[in-house]
Amino acid sequence: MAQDIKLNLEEILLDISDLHVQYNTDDATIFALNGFNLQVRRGEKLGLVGETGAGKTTMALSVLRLLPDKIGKVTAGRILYGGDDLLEQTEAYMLGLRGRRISMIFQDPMTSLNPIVAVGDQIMEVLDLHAPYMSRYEKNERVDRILSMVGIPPARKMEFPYQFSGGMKQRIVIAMALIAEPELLLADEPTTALDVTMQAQILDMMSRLKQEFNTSVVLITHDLGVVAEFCDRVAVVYAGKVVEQGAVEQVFARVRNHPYTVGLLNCIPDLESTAARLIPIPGQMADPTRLSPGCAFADRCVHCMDICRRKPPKMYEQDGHWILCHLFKERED
Amino acid sequence: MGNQNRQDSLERSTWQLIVFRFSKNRLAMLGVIVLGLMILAILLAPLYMPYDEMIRQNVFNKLHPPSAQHPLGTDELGRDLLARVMYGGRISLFGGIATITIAFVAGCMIGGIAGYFGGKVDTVLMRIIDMLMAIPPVLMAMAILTALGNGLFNLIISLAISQIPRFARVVRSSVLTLRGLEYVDAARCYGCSSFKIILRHILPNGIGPIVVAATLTLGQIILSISSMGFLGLGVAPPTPEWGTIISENKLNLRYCPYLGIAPGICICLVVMAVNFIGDGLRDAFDPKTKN
Amino acid sequence: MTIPLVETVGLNKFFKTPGGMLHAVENINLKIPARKTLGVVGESGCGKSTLGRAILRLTPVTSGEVLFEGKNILHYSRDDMKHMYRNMQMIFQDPYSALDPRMTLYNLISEPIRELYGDSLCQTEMDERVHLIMELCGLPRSYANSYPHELDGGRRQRVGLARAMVIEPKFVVCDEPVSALDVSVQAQILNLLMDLQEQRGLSYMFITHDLCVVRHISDDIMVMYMGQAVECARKEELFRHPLHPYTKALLSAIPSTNLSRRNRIRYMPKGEVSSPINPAPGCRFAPRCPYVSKKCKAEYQLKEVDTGHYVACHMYD
Repeated sequence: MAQDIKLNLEEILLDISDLHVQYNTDDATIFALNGFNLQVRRGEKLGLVGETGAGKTTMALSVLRLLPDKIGKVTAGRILYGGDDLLEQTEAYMLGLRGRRISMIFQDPMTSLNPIVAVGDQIMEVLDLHAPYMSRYEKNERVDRILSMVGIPPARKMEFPYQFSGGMKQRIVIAMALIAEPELLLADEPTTALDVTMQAQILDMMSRLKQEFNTSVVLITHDLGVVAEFCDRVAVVYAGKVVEQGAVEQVFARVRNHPYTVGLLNCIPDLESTAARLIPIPGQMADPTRLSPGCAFADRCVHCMDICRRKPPKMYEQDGHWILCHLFKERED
Repeated sequence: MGNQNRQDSLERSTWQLIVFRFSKNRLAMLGVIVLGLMILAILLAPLYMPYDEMIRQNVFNKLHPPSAQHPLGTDELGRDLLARVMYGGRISLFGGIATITIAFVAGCMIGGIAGYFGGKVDTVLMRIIDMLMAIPPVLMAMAILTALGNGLFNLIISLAISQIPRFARVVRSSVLTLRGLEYVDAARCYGCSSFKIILRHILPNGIGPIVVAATLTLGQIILSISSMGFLGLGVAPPTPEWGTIISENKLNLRYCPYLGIAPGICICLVVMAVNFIGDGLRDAFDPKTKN
Repeated sequence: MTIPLVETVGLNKFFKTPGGMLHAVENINLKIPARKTLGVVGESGCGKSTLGRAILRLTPVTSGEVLFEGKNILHYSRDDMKHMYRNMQMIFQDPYSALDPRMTLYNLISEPIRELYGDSLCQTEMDERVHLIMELCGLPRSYANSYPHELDGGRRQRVGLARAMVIEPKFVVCDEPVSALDVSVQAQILNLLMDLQEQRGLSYMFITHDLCVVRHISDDIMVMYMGQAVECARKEELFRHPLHPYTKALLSAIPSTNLSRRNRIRYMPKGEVSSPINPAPGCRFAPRCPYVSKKCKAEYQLKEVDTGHYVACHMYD
């Protein structure tokens, strides 16, 4: 039993617990993350789903400690990465971590590349920073290898970003993120700017690369379909909190879900359904400047009970699939 | 009656809102007050200060420090400095503001048309602007003045023309970025004419940097008027004018600094007041400013 | 046979670029009957937005005809066109840039009436119409004096809708009206569009890259690839029997939340979209098509292979 727990602990690469982040602007305080809990295991593909403003990107920036200076602040919580609390590390430690052990891909491939540096040199720069001991020859080899892995002929490495299409630029960005063979890749909407056929190609390629390097991937997206097809596990975020987390098979089986997940699943037009009308989630996104004492989704929830507005829900768990909702707590009792 | 009230609240026009937001801006209101007081003092000068009497040269009185009789002292020809500053303001202030206004309006038109229509219109207009830009403004103003003949009105026109290129450039670049926005297409979809689109949808949205450029140029214009005067064009001595007053008294500044300070402060005040007003206008035009 | 509300005949739109002619829209023939929705699907840069703008004469057409109720509107003068815009309107993609930030909602929504009908409406009538359309589009009356920046994306898109609908057009081009919105808001707007269509008997041309959305809202669907129409059919027909290899690839690439679709066979076109500047004759998809033959590179033609099902592929000759 004790050994079992130890094994489990080793498995978890990134453990975010009870993270609170707020943005202090001149006008108001925006509560971006409010008790955010997330575990990422080694080698898994986790999908982080939620709408604009749910706090998905804030979570990624907090892990890398890249929150906007003076405005964004972590007020509570822990981010354990391989056993170290990232919030307590020095900036020098973080510099060695970013790009080397944790990489991030941003949404827009057009602005992620420096337009006046050849793409090969941009990828090489990551190695110059994180593997200065390598010889020039070795680095060149590595760049060629990663480029052919992402499907770009290494012969084109002397070309500049404008000479590539959007999909190819995103491949280059991914190559840059993976050249140092990080343990964790945070991909923030990597395919949102791309077309569906290109998206399918990129996701396929990321799957293959993940196998190769055994990298954990956190895929931040608003597209449930992408998560269902690409990921092993899924976490649904609403108003700065993970409201549901579980294996893709558990969540998309639609047996037991958080009402918000149900709402999300219902409001996307589906390829099979013949319903004439969609079922939107009523109301508007919770106001991030005001925290409700109870469940943030209560106002929009069709199952809202009295207790939902008063007390934050506790976790309901079954086989590693957990849901933050009073609905299930009640049933348990 | 209740119905009427509801309509009033709906019909609060854009202009009323702009005036409201502007009036809430303290710095801008300060600018308005300062500029207003100066204009009043300058306009009403003949009432409390007969020009001929005060300006009369009196060499025995020269270089008097400020006193009850001459609040700002006298210059090397014994003329009362306060009177000269007051009367000089007519040319400096109104000439400067008129010049800026003409250059501003013309620059907006040219830049707006070039930016909105693009293509050949843009090429032709911008090449003309480039040619104008290649000539130093003072040289150009001189050339135009020589052609038009000397005089204050022609001076204003010539200085305005020499400033048009700068405004046209700024306006054109902001129109270029705004032209591609979808609300311009939407306006075309409900039949807005191009002229209306430029005037109502594009210029108001790009006005910020242009207004700032205009207000900052004002000080430069006031000085240009005097340097033209120095060259014997436009306003010739002994007609007072702020820039001229400073340059006339250059030699005596060391012993009588007050001779330069008064007109200098006037120029400063006008530029600052106009700048505050410009900033205030820019913010008032922008609905994102909190009411 | 009834005249379709909107029809294009051999519509071409080429852009002059330093590298040569960019074929944005090539030989498009479409018909949109009254009260129906034509969905236009394709990937970015395939010319679908240009097609919509060309139909509304927001961009000059290179050649071809645009017929509205049987009359070619491309020859209309400015004044005639102004009358035309009472019948056709557009809804834009980006709810942030489609509204003039300096105008209140009341002014934004009433401006089309003022422009197109002059001062023929008195103040009370105008108020009534603005309020009616705001209500219809789900905007509380108290918003009349708000500015666009005070609203969220979904509400702004409602304003865009209200602005297009206030003059009661017969035909509306919707250029990706929901792709900038979150899914929960997207559903609200789609429902609203469909309600308005039912109440007012509108026709839509719905431009999107999202196949799920287009399947939901359209009656007919046209698939575009690099300026050409590759397939056009009733929506049920298209999703049940896609014929063109590109359509098949598109349909199989749609990510689905249905786990049973996870292990479906996927048709992945190889390579990337080639340059639309001075393209080779024939089918644009030929360089990426697994079934390419010599004929494909010589000739492009949209043929009816089944009743109402058109496809431009030589496999079905």
